Amino acid sequence: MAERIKQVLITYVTHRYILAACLAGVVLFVVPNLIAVSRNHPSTPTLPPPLPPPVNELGQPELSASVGRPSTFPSQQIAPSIAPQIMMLIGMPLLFLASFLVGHAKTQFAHSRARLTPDFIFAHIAVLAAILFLLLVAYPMLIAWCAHAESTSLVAIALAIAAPSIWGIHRGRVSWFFVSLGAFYSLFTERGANFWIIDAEQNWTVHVLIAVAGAVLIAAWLRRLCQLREELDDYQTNIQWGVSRPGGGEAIEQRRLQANQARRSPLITWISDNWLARLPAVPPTNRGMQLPRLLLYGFSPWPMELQAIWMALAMGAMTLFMANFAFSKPGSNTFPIHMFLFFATVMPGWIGGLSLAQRRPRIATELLRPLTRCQLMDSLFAAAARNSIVHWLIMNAGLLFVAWLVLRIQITAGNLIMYVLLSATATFAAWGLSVRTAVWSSPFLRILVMMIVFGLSFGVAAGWLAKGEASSVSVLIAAMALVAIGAALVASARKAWLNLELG
Amino acid sequence: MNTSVVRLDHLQKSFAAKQVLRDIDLPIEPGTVLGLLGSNGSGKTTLIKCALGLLRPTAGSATVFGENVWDLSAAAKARLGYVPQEVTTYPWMRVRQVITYTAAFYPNWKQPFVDELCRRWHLPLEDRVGALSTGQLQTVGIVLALGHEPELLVLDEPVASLDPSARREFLRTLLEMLDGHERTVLFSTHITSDLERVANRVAILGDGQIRFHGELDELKDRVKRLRISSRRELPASFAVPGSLRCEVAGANATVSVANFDERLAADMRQTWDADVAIQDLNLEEIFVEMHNGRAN
Repeated sequence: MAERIKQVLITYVTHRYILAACLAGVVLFVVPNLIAVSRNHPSTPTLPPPLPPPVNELGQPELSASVGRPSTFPSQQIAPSIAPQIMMLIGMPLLFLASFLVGHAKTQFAHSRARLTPDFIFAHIAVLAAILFLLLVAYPMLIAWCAHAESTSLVAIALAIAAPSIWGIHRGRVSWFFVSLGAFYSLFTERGANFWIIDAEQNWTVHVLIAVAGAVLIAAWLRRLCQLREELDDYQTNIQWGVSRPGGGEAIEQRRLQANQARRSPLITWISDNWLARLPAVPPTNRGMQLPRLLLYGFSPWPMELQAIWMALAMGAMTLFMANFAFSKPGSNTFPIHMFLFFATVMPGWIGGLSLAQRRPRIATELLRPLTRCQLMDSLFAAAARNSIVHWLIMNAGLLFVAWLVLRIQITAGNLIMYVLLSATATFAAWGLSVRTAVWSSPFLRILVMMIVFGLSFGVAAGWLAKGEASSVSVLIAAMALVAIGAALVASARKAWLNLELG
Repeated sequence: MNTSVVRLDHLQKSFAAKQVLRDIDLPIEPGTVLGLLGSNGSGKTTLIKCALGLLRPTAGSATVFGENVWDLSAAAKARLGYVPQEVTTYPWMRVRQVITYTAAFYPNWKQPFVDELCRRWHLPLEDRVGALSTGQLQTVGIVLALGHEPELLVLDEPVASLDPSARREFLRTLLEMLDGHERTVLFSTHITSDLERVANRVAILGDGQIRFHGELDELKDRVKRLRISSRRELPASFAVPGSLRCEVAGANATVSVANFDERLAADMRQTWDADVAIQDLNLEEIFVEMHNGRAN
C-alpha cells in the first residue's frame, strides 16, 4: 500500500509547471507574508492601560467585576489591518489550488480505472485527504500561530472558501463560487474582519459550526469521488488547467463538457441558438472581411459581447462592493478601481490568445478548408482582434460608468485621453503577448508567463504613475513603446503560427 | 511533368530523436484508390499528415495537385477532403449548424448530397456535436469531408468507430462517388476486407518505410503460402530464400514467400522430393505474414 500511495503522490508532482508555481508562491508570497503577519503582531503586546476596577459605594474594589475578566484576549491584540493580509494568505492559495486539485482528482476518479484497479480508491483518497488536511487545517493553524490569531476561525475561513469552490469546480457551477468569494471578500470589510479575526473568541461557536459544515462538504466531495459512475452528470474530466494536451478519452470528455455548457439552461441555449442562427446569412466565401466574420462562430457558443458584458458586470459589482464596504477610507478607495482598470486592460488582450489556443485542435481541420495558410491565420487573428476590441470597449465603458457616475471620481478630459491611450496600447501589447504564447501547448505555462509579465508591467506602471503627474510627452512615449512591443509580438506570433505544425 | 495527385519524394519525418518516416517515395496517380496498411505505430497517420501539410517533413518533399503541401493554394484545398482518425469540430454547435458553418467555406458545396447522406446515416441534426457518440461524430466528419465532392479524398481510419451497417453504408457511398468519376482516394484502415472492396493499389508501411507499393492483384500474386509435404524428414535447418515465415514439422513445412515464382515451387519439389501446394492469401493474411515475417 505504501508503494501505491507513493505512486499517487508522484502524480501530483509530475505537473512541473504547477509544482514550480506552488514553490514560487510559497517562496515569494507565503513566506514573506507569514513573516510580515508575525512581525505585525507586537512581541510584547501594548494593551490599553487597565481600567480602574469598579468600586462600590464605599470606594472599595468590586470583587465580582474583576473575577470574570480575562487578563488578555489574544485576538484583541490583532490590528484590523492584518485581516486582509491573513485573507490573502489563506484565500489566494486556496482559490488557486482548489481548481487544480479538483481537476486532478477528476482525471483520477472519473475514469474506468478507478473502478477496475484494485485498491485504487483507497490510495487516491488517502493522498487527497492528506493534502486537503494540510491545506485546510494545518496551513491555517500555522498562519494563526504566526499571527497569534484564533486557529479555529482561520480553519473555518479556509473551509468556507475551499468547500464551495471545490464543489463549484466539480459540478461546473459558477453559483457555488459566490459563496467562496463572499467568504474571501468578507475579510476586506470591517464587519467581516471583526467576525472572523478581531472578535474570534466571541464567535467561536459559529466558527466551529462553519468549520464542521465545511468539513462535511469536503467529506461529501471525497465520497462523491469514490462513487463516480459513468451515468452521473459529473462524471466528466475538467481540463481547464489543461496541464497536458487532452487526447483520446480526455478529448471526448472535453467536447461533452462544452456541449453541456451550451445547453446548461434554456436562456443559454436560446442565446447560443439565436446567435448561430445568423450563420446562413454569412455568404459562402473564402476571402475579404467576410472570412473573419465567419470564423467568429468557431470561437465560442455565444458572442464575445455577451462574455464582455458578464465580465464588466462582475468587475463592476466587485469594485462597488470593495469601494463601499472595504477598509478603505473615503477618498482612498483607489484599489478597487485600479483592480477594474487592470482587468479592463489585461483581459481583452488575454482573451485574444486564449481563444486561439482553445481553438488550436480545430485549426488543423480548418487549415484544409479552401483557404491558404496565410488567409486562415490572418483571418483568425482578425477575428480574435475584433473580439478583443469589443471586450476592451465594453469593459472600459463599464469602468467609466462605475468610476464616473457611481463613485463620482473626478475625471478630466486630459486624464481620460491619457488613460485611453495607455490602456489601448497596453491591451495591444498584452494581445501580442497572448497570441505569441498561444502557440505553446501548455496552458498553465501560458498563464504563468502572462501573470508574471502583467504583474511586473503593472508594478512598473503603477510606480511610475504614483511618482506624480505623468507628463503628456512621457505618456505618449510609453504608448509608442507599447505599440512597438505589441507590433513586434504580433509579428513574431504570426510567424510562429504560420510555421506551427497543427497535426 | 508531375501528373501525380499526391507525390511524396524521399520524405522523412522525425519527432525529436525518433524517426517515424524514412525515405518514403509514394506517387498516387489520378483515379487511384490506394489502401495504406501498416501495423500500429508504423507511421500511417504521420504520413497522411505530412501529405496534407499538417506536419512539416524533416526532409524530402510532399506535393498535392503539383503544389507544395505546406503552401497549398485555396483552389487546391477546395479539391480535397480529409477524414481524420479523431474528428475535431465545434462541440457546442448542433449537427445542422456545423454543416452550415462548414458549407460557408466551400463555394461548390453540394447541400442536396449532404442532406441525402445525413438521411442515410440517420444523423441527429438537432443534437449538439459534443454529445454525439464516437461513431456518430465520425459519421459527421465523413459527411463534412464529402460535402463538396472532392477530387482527392484522404481517409485516416474513417470506419474504425462505425457499426457494420454504417461501415457498409460508407463503402457504398464511396463506391458510388468513385463510379464514373476520376477521384483519387488515400484510404488508411486496419479493416483489410474494406480495402479489398474499394482499393486498386495498396501500400504497406513498416518501420517507417514503404515495404510494398503496387497493384493489389500484384501483391496477391507475389505473396503465397506453400505447403510442402516431403517423402523424407525435413531438416531443422530447412529454409527457403526470401521467405517471410517458415514452419517445419517432420516431413511437412509451411512457408510464406514474398516473391513467389513458379520456378521456386518446382525447385522445392525437385530438391526435397516433395508435393508443393500453393495457397492464395487474402489481404489480411498477407498483412499478417508480412508483419510477422518482419517481426521474426
